[in-house]
Amino acid sequence: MRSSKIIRTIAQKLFPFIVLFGFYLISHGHLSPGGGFQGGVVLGTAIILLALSHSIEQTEKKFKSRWLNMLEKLGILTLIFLGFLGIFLGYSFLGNFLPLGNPGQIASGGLMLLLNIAIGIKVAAGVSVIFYALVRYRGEI
Amino acid sequence: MVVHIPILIIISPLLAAFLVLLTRKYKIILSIASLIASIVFISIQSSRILYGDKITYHLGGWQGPLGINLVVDELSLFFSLIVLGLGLLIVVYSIPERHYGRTYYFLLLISLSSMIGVIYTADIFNMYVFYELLSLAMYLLIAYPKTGVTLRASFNYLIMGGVGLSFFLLGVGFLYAMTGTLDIFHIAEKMSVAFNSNTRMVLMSFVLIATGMGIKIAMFPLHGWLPDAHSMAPSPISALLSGVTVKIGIYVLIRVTYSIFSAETFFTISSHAILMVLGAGTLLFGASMALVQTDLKRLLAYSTINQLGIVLIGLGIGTELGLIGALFHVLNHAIMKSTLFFCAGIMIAEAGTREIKGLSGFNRQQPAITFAFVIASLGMIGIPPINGFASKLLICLAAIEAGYTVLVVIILVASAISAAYYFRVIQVLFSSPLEHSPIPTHGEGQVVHRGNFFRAWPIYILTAGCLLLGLIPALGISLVKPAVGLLLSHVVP
Repeated sequence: MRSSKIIRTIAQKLFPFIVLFGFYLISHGHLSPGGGFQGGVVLGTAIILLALSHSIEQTEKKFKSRWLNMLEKLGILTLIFLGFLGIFLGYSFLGNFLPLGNPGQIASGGLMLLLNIAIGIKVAAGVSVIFYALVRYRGEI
Repeated sequence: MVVHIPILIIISPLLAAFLVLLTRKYKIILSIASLIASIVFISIQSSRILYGDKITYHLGGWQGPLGINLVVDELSLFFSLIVLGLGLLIVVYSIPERHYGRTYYFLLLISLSSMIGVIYTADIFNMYVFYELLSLAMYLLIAYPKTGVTLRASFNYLIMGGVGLSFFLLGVGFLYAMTGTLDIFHIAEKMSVAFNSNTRMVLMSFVLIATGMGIKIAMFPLHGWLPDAHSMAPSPISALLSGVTVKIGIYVLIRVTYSIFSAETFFTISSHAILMVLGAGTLLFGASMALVQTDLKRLLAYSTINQLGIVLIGLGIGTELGLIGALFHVLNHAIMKSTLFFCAGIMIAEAGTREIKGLSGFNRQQPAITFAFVIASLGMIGIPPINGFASKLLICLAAIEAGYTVLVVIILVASAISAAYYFRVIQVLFSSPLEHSPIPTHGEGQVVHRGNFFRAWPIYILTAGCLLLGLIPALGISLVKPAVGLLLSHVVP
C-alpha cells in the first residue's frame, strides 16, 4: 500500500524533530520529566513513522534490523559495564564515580546521564526491532 | 571484591545472557562459565553466612529505606544454592540438543539470574520485578518448541501467572500505603503500629500476597496451569520448572510472611490451619490425579503437586520441626524431581512416545538410567534410605508433636497412592518389550542418548545426591536448621 504524497512529505519533515525531541527527553531525564525509556520510545516511534509512511523495505535499508539488534545489546552491555566500572573504581555496583556538578545543568547528576543514554539506545532499537518483527510476521503494514 | 559478592552472583549470569546473544560458538561455554563463577562466589561466602553472619549490600551506595538492599542470610543462601546447583546441571543437560539456539540459553540464564534476584533482594517491589522477569522467561521457555500444545500451555500459564503476580503487586501496594517504605525489614519495623491502627488492610495485604503466591506454587484450587506447563515444556525446562521455579514461590511466601507479618496476623485469620487444610487438599488431589495419568511427564507434573502439598503441610504446622521438614523436603524434591524429569526426557526420546505403556523393556536398553529413575521414584514415595523418607518422617513427627495425627494419616495415604503410580511406571520399565516396540532410530540431528556424557552425568550426580542425603540426612538438616532459626526468631509471640 502506498500512502499519499502529503503524508510522505510531512513524515519526512517531521522525522528530525521527533528525533531531536527524543534526544531531549533522554538527555534531560535527570532534570525534568522524561528519561531513557520515554526518550527511547520517542526515537523508536520516529523510525516506525518512517516505516508507516514510506515502505518498510525503504526504511529497513536505512535502519538495518541487524544494526538495530546489535545496538540493543550494546545498550544493555554498556549499562552493565557502567555498573561494573563503579566496582572497579572502588564504589559499589552502579555507584556514582563522576563529579556531581551544579544542579539544573546537563552535566550534573553524575552517572545518571550516561545510564539514561544507554537505556535510550536500547529502548529505541528494541521498539523498532519489535515493529519490524511484527510487520514481517503479518506480511504487510 | 569480596564486598561486592551478592551483586556479582546476580550479574554474572545476566551479563553472560546478553553476551550469549552476540556469539554463536561460545554460547554453552559462556553460560556454564558464568554459572560456575556464581557458584564460586557463593561458596566463598557460605561458611561465613552459616555461622550466623548476614551480608547486606547497598546497590549504588544508597542505604536504608531509600535504596535497594541485597541481603544474603541463611534462608537466601539455602535457596540460592538449590537454584545455582540445579541450574548448572540443567545447562549441562541441554548441551546435546543441537536445535536449542542462542535464545534458549539467553532465556535460561535470564531466568536463573532473576531467580537469584528474587531470593537476594530485600526490596519487596524489586522482588516483584524480578519475579515478573523470571515468569516472562519461563513462559517463553515453555513455548520454545513452538508447537500447538506448548503454546497453549504457555498461554495458560501466562494468564494464571499474570493474575497471581497482580495479586502480589496489589498486596505490595497495600503495604506501601500503610508503611511508606518498600524495604522488607523497614516494613517489618513499622508493622506493629500499622496492625493496631488498620488491622483490615494488613490482613488484606497478607491474603493478597498469600493468594498470589498460592497460584505460583499451584496450591490445590489454583493449580490449573501446572500440569500442562510442566509436562509440555522441553525436558530440561520441565526439570527447571518443577525443581526450581516452584520453589521460588515457596521462598517468597516464607520470606514475606515470616519477615513482615507478625504472629498476631497469622492468629487472627488462623492462616496456619488454612495452610494445613489446603496442603492436605493439594496432597490428596495431586496423588489421585497422578494415579490416572497415562502420559509419563503429566504423571510427574501431578506428582509435583502431590509433593508441594507435603511442603505446605510442613509450613502449616509451623513448629521448628515442621519448618525444618518443609525446607528439607524442598531440597529433596528439587533433587528428586529433576532426576525424574531428566530420565523422562531420555526415555521419551528413546521410546518415541510419551505414553507409559510404550516404555516397556527400557531397563534392557539403559540400565543405569532406569536405576536412577527407580531410586528417585522410591524417594518420592518415601522409602528409606532415600532422601524423601527423611523429610517426610520429619514432617510426620512434627505433626504428631503438634497434635495433628490426622495429617500423618493423610500423608501416609498419599504416600501409598504415590507408591501405586510410581510402581506402575517401574513395572512397565522392567517388563519384557512389546513385540512391535520400535528400535530407536536416530534421525539427522537427533540426540544419541546411550552413553552420552552430558545426558548421563547430571542424572548420576543427582542420584548420588538422593542417596547421600538419604543416608546422611544430617547434611541437609545442617543447611536448613540455621534458616529455620532465622525464621522463628522473627515470629516468637
